[in-house]
Amino acid sequence: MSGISNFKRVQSIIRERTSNNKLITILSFLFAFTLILSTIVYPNINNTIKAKFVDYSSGIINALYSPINTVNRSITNLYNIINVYDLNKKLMAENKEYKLQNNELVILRHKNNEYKKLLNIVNDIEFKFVTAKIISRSNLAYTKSVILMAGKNKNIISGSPVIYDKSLIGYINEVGNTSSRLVSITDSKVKIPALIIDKDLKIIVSGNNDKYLEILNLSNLSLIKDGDKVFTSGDGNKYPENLFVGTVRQKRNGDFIIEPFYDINSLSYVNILNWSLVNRGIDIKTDSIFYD
Amino acid sequence: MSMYSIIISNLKYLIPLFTTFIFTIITITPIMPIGYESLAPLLGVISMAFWIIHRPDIMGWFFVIIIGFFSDVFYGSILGSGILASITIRIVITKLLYKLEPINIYHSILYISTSIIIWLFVSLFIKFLLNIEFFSLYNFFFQALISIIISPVVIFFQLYLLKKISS
Repeated sequence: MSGISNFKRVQSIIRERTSNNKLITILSFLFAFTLILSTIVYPNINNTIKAKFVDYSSGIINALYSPINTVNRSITNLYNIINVYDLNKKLMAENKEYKLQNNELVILRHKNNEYKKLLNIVNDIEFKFVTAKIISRSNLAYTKSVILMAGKNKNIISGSPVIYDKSLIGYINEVGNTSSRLVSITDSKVKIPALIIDKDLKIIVSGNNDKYLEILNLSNLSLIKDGDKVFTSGDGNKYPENLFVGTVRQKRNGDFIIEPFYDINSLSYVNILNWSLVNRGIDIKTDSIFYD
Repeated sequence: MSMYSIIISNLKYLIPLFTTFIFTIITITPIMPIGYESLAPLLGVISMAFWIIHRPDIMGWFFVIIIGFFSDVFYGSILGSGILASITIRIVITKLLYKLEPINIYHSILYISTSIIIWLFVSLFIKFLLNIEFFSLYNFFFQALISIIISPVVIFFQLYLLKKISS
């Protein structure tokens, strides 16, 4: 290996040593710090810059993503074909359980409708949504996000919650003209006001750039147990209520974590909710601090 | 010599930037097998470090800043953190090169490993400073490990390109 380009390499290293780099180094550092500072002071401007560049590069990203994704999915399909017997056995057992639950659900739904009629309760808001294709995945130790092939052209706005099968996946952080960035619920900057419905226990769920979610501010650990279902509470107007977040799991050391129902890496498409005030059922004058 | 021929003859010096750009995009594609996709190797960082080690004259400050900027754009990290990380990597590697004699594959892997650790440390540190939030040390080590394990593949591919550029 050393023989390949040793002469050129030594030449270039000598050139590097003899050139005065101090000024360029200082300027480069200054530039980096200025950008970081501007991110703190003007986060929206920086997000717009990033979104613009993603817009311009989305064609290249998609061109590379699609074939690699196809190969990856084919390998998964092959694996599933090999394990079809075991999977079928498992699914049949699950199906039997779901059939029983479905019967109970029909009765509960009927009762619920009766109670709603008696109490004259206004129906829940049904959110409109846009389906968008995932064209990249950032699975890094410090960020968990994906790029979606939908932006302002599909009326996407920053902060819109993203769901899949009534499960919360994340929210929109940057919006370009033809693309947008979805920050996954597993990213450490995501905090979700949540509720364990059958125990009426309110918790804050946080990502930690891992597969699982952390539980914050839990006062009474004895109430929570492995297998509990966690839903969004709707507090703070960041996400709609009653979206499935995940299932509580107990670690070997006794700590509780939440396993998200959907791993973002297993999805190809997601639904972006229309999060404008009117679509949230708010048509009065509001303070932008609380609702934007 | 015409303008066209000057451009063509200098085009090969854009190969390091172009390949690093492509590797940065490949990092955000589903390259990891099912079950292990939660952390991807930092291919762009490996590629950038390779060119800083072998041709610091081509992989200059300007290219390093461009790569850092696009890494932030593609990865969705804080704008500026990638630039800071890549500048730091370039400084550390060029300082280490001062004390070095001809490089072999083990040296390359050592430098690239150092670069990956610097990149992750700078990115995590800035995110932590700005948001004071959770981060998993397990993820840090696992991502560094995956990147180091996969780095020889990128190194051998780039060695071929290096040979072409140098010939």
